[in-house]
Amino acid sequence: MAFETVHLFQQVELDTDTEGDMTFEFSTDVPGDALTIKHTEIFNTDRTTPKRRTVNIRLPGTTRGKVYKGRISGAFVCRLFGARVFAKPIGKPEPTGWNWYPLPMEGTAELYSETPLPIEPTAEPYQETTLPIVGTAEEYSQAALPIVPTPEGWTDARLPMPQPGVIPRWVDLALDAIE
Amino acid sequence: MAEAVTQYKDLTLQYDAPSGATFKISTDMPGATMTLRRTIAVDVTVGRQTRTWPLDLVADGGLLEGKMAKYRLESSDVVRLYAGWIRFRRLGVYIDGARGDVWETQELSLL
Repeated sequence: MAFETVHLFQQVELDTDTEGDMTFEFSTDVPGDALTIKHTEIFNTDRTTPKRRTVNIRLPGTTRGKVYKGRISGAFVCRLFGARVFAKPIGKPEPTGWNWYPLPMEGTAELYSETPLPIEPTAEPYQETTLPIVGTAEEYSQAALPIVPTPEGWTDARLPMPQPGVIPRWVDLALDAIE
Repeated sequence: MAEAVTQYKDLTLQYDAPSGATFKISTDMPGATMTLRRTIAVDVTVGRQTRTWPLDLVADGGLLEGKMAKYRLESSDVVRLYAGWIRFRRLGVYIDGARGDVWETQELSLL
């Protein structure tokens, strides 16, 4: 919601780091009651060395309005860390009334945070696991040897002799007669 | 409106590499395409050690940036990687003009 008080805008300050020429446009609604671009400026912090720095953009002395807007565009990379505008309500005596008003934007964290890489953790203490070895009994046990036992008594065994088929007897032999 | 981009400050690894290794980091900024941005020569170690490497560009000190990051560790020998960390911060406004990004406030008024 716009308010009745018209403000006079003196300058815009950008905390930025660019890699080439970027364009800043400042728009207000006075005169004309419609937002129109009142000032355009090209800025570049140069990337030959770490070049995050503050860029001051002086606005024309007639830049005023109830509503204002800022815009940055260009063909290069621009990192914007902060932006603010120096303005005062029209009607207040100089030098009072001038104040810095930050332009709303996502802030950049001043401190770095740490995050772990996606690495499977290694268990710190060593762990024990049993090897697949069959245990050795502490005490000896008895096992019978595979020996056929000897019987205590004797047993008869027939000798492997053929049995005679006929009982032998004496027979007279036929002899020649003696003459 | 430009989206928040992450800036990476440095890399820390806890490892054991008898023949050293190479650590490669790819990000998608600038250009919105995953591209190899940093190749770090991981030092030879005798036993488990912790080392840190900066991710600034030597030429102009610019930090590694991206919305996404991919990490790759290579070696011709054994590497035992126990843990790793990366330090970062979220960048408020990153305007990639080559992709047509612009930054623009809403219509604002002062009390």
